Amino acid sequence: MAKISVQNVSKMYKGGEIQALKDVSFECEDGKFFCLLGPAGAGKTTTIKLIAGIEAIDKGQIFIDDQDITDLLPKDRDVAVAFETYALYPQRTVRENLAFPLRAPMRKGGMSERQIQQRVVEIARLLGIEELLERLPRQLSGGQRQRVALGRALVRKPKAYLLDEPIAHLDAKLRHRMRGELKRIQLELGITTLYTTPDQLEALSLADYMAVLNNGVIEQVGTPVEIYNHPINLFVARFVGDPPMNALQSKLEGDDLVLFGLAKLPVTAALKTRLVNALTGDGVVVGIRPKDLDIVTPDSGEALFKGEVKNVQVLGETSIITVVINAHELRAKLSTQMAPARGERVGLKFSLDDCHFFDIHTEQRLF
Amino acid sequence: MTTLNLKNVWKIYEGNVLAVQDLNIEVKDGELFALLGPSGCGKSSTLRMIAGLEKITRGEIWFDDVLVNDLEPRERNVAMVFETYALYPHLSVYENIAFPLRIRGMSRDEIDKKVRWAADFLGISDLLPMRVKGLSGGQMQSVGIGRAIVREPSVLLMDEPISHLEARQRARMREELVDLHHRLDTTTIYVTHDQVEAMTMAHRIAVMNLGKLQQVGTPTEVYERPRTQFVGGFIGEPPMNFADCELVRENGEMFAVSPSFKIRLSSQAAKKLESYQGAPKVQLGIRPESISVSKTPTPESIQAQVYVLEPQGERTLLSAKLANGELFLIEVAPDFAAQVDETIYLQFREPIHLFESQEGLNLLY
Repeated sequence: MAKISVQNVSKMYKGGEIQALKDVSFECEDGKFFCLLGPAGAGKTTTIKLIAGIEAIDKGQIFIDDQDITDLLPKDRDVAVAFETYALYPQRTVRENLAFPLRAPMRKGGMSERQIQQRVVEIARLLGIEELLERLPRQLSGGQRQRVALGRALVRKPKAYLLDEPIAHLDAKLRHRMRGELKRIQLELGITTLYTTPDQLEALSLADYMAVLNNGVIEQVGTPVEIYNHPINLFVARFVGDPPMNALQSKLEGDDLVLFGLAKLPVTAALKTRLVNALTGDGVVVGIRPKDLDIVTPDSGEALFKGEVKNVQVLGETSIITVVINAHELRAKLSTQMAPARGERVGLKFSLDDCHFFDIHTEQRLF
Repeated sequence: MTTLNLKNVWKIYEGNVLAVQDLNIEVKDGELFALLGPSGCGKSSTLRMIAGLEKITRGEIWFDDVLVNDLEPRERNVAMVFETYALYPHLSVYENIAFPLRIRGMSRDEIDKKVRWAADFLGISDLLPMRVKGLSGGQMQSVGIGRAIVREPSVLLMDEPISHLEARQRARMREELVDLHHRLDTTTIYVTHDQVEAMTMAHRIAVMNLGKLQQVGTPTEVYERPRTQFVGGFIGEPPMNFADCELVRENGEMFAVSPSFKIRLSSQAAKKLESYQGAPKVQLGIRPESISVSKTPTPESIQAQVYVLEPQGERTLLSAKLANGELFLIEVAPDFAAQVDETIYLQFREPIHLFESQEGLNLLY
């Protein structure tokens, strides 16, 4: 049983010059996989360091279950950490690095040497580094070192795992496999896990719950499905999902939404009322995901916009096309078989049902 | 206007290290051509031989009708863009771009004209007086490209130019580089280990592994018709699934049989396999989007267990464990729900690929 509760935590660096975390609060429930997602410099690693006790908190409190751990020494917190920077013992072999947390004197109910070796081999096999056990860290590639660092965290069964971008340095194929394995291991062990990543796909794939962090502030907390389907503001909407959601600067004029000052989209009376009630002015950002944009022939009546295909990116079964409309670019994701060619003139359409609406000034979600 | 021709090119390093083996590639005039493969596949050695930075052990490299084997790098009129930028940090953007012209002894006026043209072309004119030191990664790479194009090279060589940028910036630079290439129209060779970059940017891709060319083709060709198992597994995200199986003929029909499944092959596939004399043990390859899932058995469906579910917004990735322990990745709709370890039933759809076990050649290619 271990619930991690971060309450109103702030952290400054350089004597208050840089505020890394501003009044951050979130709760990671017992046994859940919780991802902290955000761009570089958002404060993800700082959060991990504060929970691990590696750095001191300036303001706020952290609880594990009902125990206030804010002032506890790292070793008394019973959490296992894997850092992106590995932090391995350079003069010890992989085997010894992995065994170290099991030998540490403060662990009560110590394991026998045989049990330790068994556990080390088990974890090494799981991470595909079994054949590297007798090597030193400097004899390993970045991806291999990272797996050792991850293994050193997973070898124990603490109250919580704190994993800081633990698979960032693996190549694409291996990262894919490790992601699935990590999710399965966590599910089987049921150990509360806090995991940071700048990769939105990784966060969506792994998390039971996730928080989007930006400039030291939590933007939104929710399940991956909630965050993808109901992003709370334009930042979250464009950070989660790839390619980013299209954002159309629009205005409510009479019974129409005028998109980019170019196209008129008639709205129902009900939608108009909702917009009027929610807006601070008359400016709306209409958000539409690339997968929800459809290509039609430019002279068909359905085309909301007409534009020229500037770029076609084949991903495999699907392709991303970039369409230029005056000075604006919109991206659509569609089946490669349906994709138009570069330079072709196309029409674009979408359904109001797939739109997200944001206030143009506050950038907050309206509905 | 340059066509590039590599004929039976070998690179053997000291100690008999085979870096590139018998490589044959023709790059068309004005093409954006990607050399793709994992580290150690020979793509960088190939690029360096084209640049003249590395001696060719055997074979010929032609720029149009000129054999360049023995030409110095500067006589080849190629320009290179590196991952590390290789800029002079203490010099201004202007001086960095001007550098290759200065060492050629061009007049001050001529240099000024060309530097301003290159900066304007890349949209970085306002950076010209700034020092390189304080620029962002993307800006530095633009300066690196400026320095390459200012000489108006006949061939532009790019060595992992954006691989160190963070994901969003990389996605933006992919589009910018394609746009740049389109306006410049210079024959360009682009080296990368990232299949997404090669797929989304190149006209054609040469996939390499362990010094050997695996396949040359358009992005759609290498995705839909991989010539080898390596190409099948390397191209595509999420990756292609593979399983050991055996080809069995029964009552005039062909089946791929493994402890986990028995798949009836299409009549076209059976026809292509008629002349196959090799070992019956093959690898079946199938992409995650070519598998359907149901909760109840259907005729010839394959039983499996849910191992992991990964929701990804517009789709969900399902990892299924087959009877023999293989993990197969499957793309399912975002509203697909299932419990871990729940029994499900898979149906394989075409295209199903079969690779022979010797060299991994696609038997249905």
